Amino acid sequence: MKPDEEHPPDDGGLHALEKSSLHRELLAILVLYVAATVLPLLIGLAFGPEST
Amino acid sequence: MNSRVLTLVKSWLVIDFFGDSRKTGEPGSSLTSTIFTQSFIGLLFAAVFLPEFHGFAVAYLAANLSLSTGLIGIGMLGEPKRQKREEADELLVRTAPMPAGSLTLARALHSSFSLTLVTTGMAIPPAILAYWACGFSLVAIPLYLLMATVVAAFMAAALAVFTRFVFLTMGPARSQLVAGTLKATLLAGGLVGFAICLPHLDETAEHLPIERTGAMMWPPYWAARVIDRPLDAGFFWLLLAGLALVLFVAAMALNSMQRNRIQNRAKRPGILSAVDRALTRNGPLLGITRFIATMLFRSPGFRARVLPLFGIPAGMVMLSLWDTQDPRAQALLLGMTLQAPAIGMPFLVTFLPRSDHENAGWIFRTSPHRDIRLYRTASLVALTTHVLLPVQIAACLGLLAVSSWSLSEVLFAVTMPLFSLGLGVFVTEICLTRLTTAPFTNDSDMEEGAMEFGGLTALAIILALFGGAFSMLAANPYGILIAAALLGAAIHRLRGNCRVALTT
Repeated sequence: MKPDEEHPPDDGGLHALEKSSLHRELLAILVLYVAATVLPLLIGLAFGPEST
Repeated sequence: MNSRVLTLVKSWLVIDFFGDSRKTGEPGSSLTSTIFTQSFIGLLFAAVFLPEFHGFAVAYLAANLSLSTGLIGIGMLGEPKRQKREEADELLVRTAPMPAGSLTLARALHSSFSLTLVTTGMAIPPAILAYWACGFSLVAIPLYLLMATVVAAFMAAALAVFTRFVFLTMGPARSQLVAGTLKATLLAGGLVGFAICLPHLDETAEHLPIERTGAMMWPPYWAARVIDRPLDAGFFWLLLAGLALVLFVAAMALNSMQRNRIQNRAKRPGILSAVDRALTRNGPLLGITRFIATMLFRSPGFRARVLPLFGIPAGMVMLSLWDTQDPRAQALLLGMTLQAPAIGMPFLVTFLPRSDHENAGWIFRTSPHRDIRLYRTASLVALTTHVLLPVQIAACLGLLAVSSWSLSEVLFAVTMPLFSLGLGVFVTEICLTRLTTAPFTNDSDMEEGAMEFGGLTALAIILALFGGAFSMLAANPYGILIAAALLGAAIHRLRGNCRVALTT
């Protein structure tokens, strides 16, 4: 039987490429979280209400 | 932890991240882009509305929580592909050698992880700024992050329970339609809510147009009260716990519910279908018209675009009740707003060919009647009878309901929608000259020729001008004559098109 080129047989687990892609995306989101923490900190320090 | 549970969670995450982009062949992940965009919106919103003085923290926190909760709700609803994924998923996990407990654990882990991933991106900026808004309270930061996730989970759970209930009682098609409608309502309600409540950010809930009672119906407000004073907000902690309990009980009750498979088909066609029949007589033209008219509201993607047009009658009534000093200005506004269905028509026609199901083209593939004029005429009739006509009738009834029944107001309420209907038919016919394939059968998103922005703006300005100019004449005999003549010409044109299509 000719193998289906569009749908290769499942190798029984997640493909290594997909795994590394997933890790890369999660890392990108982690970097976003860091940026989302630092930027408001600076905004708060510059424009936040001052203590009286 | 069980490796099978982790494998399942990772697989679902891969689909979440790359499901869309792998299909279209795009690099990267659409979910990451969404998280970045929403986080930027959250940062912008939190920074712009940061109060200059202490004492208004609740309003600020509630506004930010409402934004993230609303975006989570909108993101969850009306995705046509969601149901397909759920069906495929059911097939996958039913055959998997896993105990029910592990499956539930995997589902819970995946849902909570993906919800937290999206919500945290939006919640971090306001959480950091909550430190200043709440008077240098460090507790506010983790509490905000927790509450943002909790209210987002409530929103997701409430919507899931509701759509599941509709699925079980009314079937998958109606559940998709309800989800699409809910999405449009949430979007419109959110915009209106922010527009009317944001000017009151430096006041308390009593000063809101929805008053304290309205605020008390909205869980993000409870969460804002908890973040502001966690120790004095016992009542709001209880409310949150109560809502969690209610949602849990509802979800458990739905779990044991069987799907109702009784068909609730309409026994006879409605009035709008009778208008279709009167215009198209019978044969292939009537068949294609009925197909398009049904799909206009059955296709979840298209429905999300059509439904906002039905908000126009409500907008009309609100404009009428708006107490402007100059009645001519009010008439002008009404005249311009009533052209909105015609202004939106190029958008609708652009999305008309898009199919929700792959290979939907088979419906017409074996038909001997494949002339594009037939499809254009059928689309013209369907859009006239199922979009323009009901919107203008609803606008007419709405205007009559709020009128003082003086002759001029009654005339205005009747002639203005008639004029707009007639004008809309001509605009639709012009827009449909761009239609090159049978509606709802095109699998590719790329082939749609979107109308240029300049052209759309020009059309909007011209139609608004026509509407505004006619509104000055609508309540006098010339207005009646013009409206009747335009509508007569539109009906003549419709019938002429149908005659030509029937002879092809």
